[in-house]
Amino acid sequence: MRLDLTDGTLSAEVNGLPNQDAFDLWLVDNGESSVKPEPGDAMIRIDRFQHEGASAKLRTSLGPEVLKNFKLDLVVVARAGKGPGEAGILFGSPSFFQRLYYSEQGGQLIGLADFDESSGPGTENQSPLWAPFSVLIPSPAYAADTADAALARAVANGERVFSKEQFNGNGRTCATCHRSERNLTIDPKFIATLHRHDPLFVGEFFEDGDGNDTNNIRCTDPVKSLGCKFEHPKLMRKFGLILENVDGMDNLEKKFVMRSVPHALALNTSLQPATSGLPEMIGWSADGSPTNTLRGFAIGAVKQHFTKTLDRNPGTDFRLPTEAELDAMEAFQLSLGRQRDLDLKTLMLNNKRAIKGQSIFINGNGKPAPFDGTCMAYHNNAGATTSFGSLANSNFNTGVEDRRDSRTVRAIIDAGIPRDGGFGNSVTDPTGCIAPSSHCGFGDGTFNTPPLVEAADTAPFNHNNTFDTLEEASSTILPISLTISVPVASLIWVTLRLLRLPHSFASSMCWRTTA
Amino acid sequence: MKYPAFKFAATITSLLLVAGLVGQLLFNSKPPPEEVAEAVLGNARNLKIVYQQWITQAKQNGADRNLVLALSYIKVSRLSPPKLMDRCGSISPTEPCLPR
Repeated sequence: MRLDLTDGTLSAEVNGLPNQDAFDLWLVDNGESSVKPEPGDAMIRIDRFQHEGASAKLRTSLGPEVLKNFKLDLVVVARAGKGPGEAGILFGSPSFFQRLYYSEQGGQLIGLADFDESSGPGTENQSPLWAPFSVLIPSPAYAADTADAALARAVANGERVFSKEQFNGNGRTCATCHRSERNLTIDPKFIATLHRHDPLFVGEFFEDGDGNDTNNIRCTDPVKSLGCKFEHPKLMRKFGLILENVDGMDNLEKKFVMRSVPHALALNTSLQPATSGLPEMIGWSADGSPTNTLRGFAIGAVKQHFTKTLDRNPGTDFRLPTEAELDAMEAFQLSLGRQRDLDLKTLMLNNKRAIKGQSIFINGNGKPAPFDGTCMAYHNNAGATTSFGSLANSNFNTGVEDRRDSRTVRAIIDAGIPRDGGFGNSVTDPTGCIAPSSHCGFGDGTFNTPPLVEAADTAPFNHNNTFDTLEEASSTILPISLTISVPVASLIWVTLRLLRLPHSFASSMCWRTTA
Repeated sequence: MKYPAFKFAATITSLLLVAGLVGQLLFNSKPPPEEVAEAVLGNARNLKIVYQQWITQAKQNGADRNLVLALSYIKVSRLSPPKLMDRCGSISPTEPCLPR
């Protein structure tokens, strides 16, 4: 959706909407309530989409009346005849940076946007009057005089929300799984040290017939417990896996996957979208956020992990985050870790094994593609993107779901857990079976490329913790002709030292399954 | 009174405890949630760098004149998600895509 801030012209184009159905575009002002469109919010129906071939298009002009006491928290495409709360199917929301930027433009903050790098501050400022419709864009919810102060307050508040806010739910916070002492992830060894009443185990809390509370690790006959449709205690404790209903909550028995907890470091290097597709790529399969943005990730996380009951009713089982909380958490998460990728080709190492590993990582084994074994192709500069130009942040089928030699994968299969279909929710049917079953899943089978720089201290690896160590990952994933894990691991270690990173650098995972 | 000293001490202790509790209730200095001053894990300087990069890109893309928002599907809405293309130019659910 594009809104001309000078004259109020609004245009939108959507691909893939069913031709036989009608759809409306809505603007929503959430006020002080949650991010969900709900009674009490100000909602304006803008216009109806017109189908043109495979696209549905809309073009209209906003009148000045919309400028009176309205803030554009949400843009919603909803089925015609119903409101955005009940029939919304596509959502958009200004990011934290957009809110901050237009606050500066509107003169509400003295800040970084006034500074033009080429010619100094103030030379190309636009008057707030120049773009009257920019007042529609809500400011970040932090009282501050400058953008610098707003950034600092947002990060601090985001950290508080991330680590302490329970959203009136079951006691969990974001930090219940994204542990600061474990580089914002969690692993079985650490889980084993936790008190049995740690909120991580809230799915197991159980009162026996005598009123004694205990942990129901076997998850049989859960009484007063969220139970095994909420978490799988055995797989959580043994492999650090968290139950996720990433494909919907309409069939809790069979529609779920078990995933590891990704660290939240260096997100700024891995969010950018592929050539076509999502606004931002986040989560193991890139579509982990209900709004497909970092900003909206918390909405899905609260509903999934913070609920008191499996009914998951906002308002009673938990509360949804506010726009201010989403601002803060987006700012906090973007502030974590690296802000850019290394230049691995010019990186100077001082260890022979590491230098050899560096060469292999970059150049492969000297064979022609696709058998050259270059890790660099799939993890450009050991980051979360490929070196395929405009297709840099792509998804791939890693083959991990078929790694029967992994004890984790075997345990998942033995437990009757459905196959993780990765991106999307189409039925993956590689073996001719009908999903959901232990062999099929929802999705196209692909997962997003993870960054490697942080890998040294964020084991185990993969979307389901398939591999416990870098050595295991490299020796089992690299082509047979390139199972030289030690030099690559050395690269990790030495680079870590060179960069003086507090924790992690690296990994030797190359998503190649054949040689 | 068999143990006047003990009783006196107990009374004083009780009074102090009550005063402490009242004081805690009246003068609890717990800051309101919005008053957290500094981040420990988060890094505002990092965020500033990201924001400056974003501003540069946004200006190049005409953000001064246009607000652009991506409208994204909800995964569970049964609408087909946008396709992600791998290097092969297609999505392969069963085979990893190898470069040509």
